[in-house]
Amino acid sequence: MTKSFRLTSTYFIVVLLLMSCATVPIIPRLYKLPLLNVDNKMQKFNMQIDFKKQSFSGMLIVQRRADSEIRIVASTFFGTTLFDFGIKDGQFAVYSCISPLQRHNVIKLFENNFKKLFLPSQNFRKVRLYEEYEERISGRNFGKSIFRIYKPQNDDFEKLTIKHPWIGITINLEKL
Amino acid sequence: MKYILSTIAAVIILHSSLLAQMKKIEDKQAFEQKLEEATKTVKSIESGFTQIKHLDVFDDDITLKGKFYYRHSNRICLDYTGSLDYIIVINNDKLKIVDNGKKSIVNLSANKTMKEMQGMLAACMSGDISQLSSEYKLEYFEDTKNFKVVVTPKSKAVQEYIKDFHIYFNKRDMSVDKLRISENTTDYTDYIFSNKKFNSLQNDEKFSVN
Repeated sequence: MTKSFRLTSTYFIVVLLLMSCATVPIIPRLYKLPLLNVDNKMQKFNMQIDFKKQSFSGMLIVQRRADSEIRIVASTFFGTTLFDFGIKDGQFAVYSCISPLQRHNVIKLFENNFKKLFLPSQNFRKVRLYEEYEERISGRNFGKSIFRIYKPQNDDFEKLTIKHPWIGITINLEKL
Repeated sequence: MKYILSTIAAVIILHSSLLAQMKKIEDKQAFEQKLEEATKTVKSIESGFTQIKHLDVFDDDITLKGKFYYRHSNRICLDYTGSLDYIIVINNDKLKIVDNGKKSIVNLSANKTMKEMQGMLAACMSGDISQLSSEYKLEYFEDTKNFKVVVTPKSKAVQEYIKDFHIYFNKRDMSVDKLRISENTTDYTDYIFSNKKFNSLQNDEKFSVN
């Protein structure tokens, strides 16, 4: 009786798992498009960074320059620049950065996030399409990042979040 | 004849541009006295503002608008309007930011540099530069329409964020017409104040940090 009960419940669990998986298509990591397309038109985002109980907000400005470099500048809404990064030919440059953020791990985190956001052919372990958002997961453990883009339509979107679950940092971007 | 006309035109243009340039104020004390008299009577300011952020790396400037509120001596509120749902409130030692309804409050007294910048900001936006400590170098200029005070921080910690402030005072009523915050030689943010109302605020609810 016990053995048959275990077999039956295992059977149901497997069926439920298969059913839930069937509603969320998993796309292999050959998905090559960048999360956000950057061209020569300036794009502005309301950026909010949550770290544990602290929250910080500012503006992120992104534009592809004539020499094809992607320039990424973050500024407080009040006006002071927090950082000025550039990505060109896969290389990441730090033009300026306020001293509290000038930590190797912090810069590396930004580098990885922005490359994943703006460059094509980035490796993601998993890409899932849900009704409300598209999710891309890269890395593991402390290097794990979860990108969610809400309602992607024609290169426009409502909101994008980057979650680093092991570090406890979440970055939210909303188009201005 | 053409040579004479073009020479006259060049002289007129040169003369106009020289008139528009700011020159150093001869009588600094007279300016300070005039400013002190004006700020004594102002207990609150309410105005519109246009914020223009210029970054040399980008082709276009970023323009935001909103409402500015000030209460003597250390309370400021910047309420951004348009597509941005964002409010900054400075009330003595507290800084409150409300972003899309999400509130965060910072105690400025915990960070000396932030507290100093907050004091500098309040002084520059309100025009009450008597509040500035001796940690700043002040230079005075004028043209036909405005006085200009260039405030340069001496603190290296503040210099990391701000190169200097340029405060443009309207000669008519000594209110601040424009504030330029320069981060370096090429990048700056301008605040242009318009439709100013003085002593019109009925209560302090705009400056609440709760």
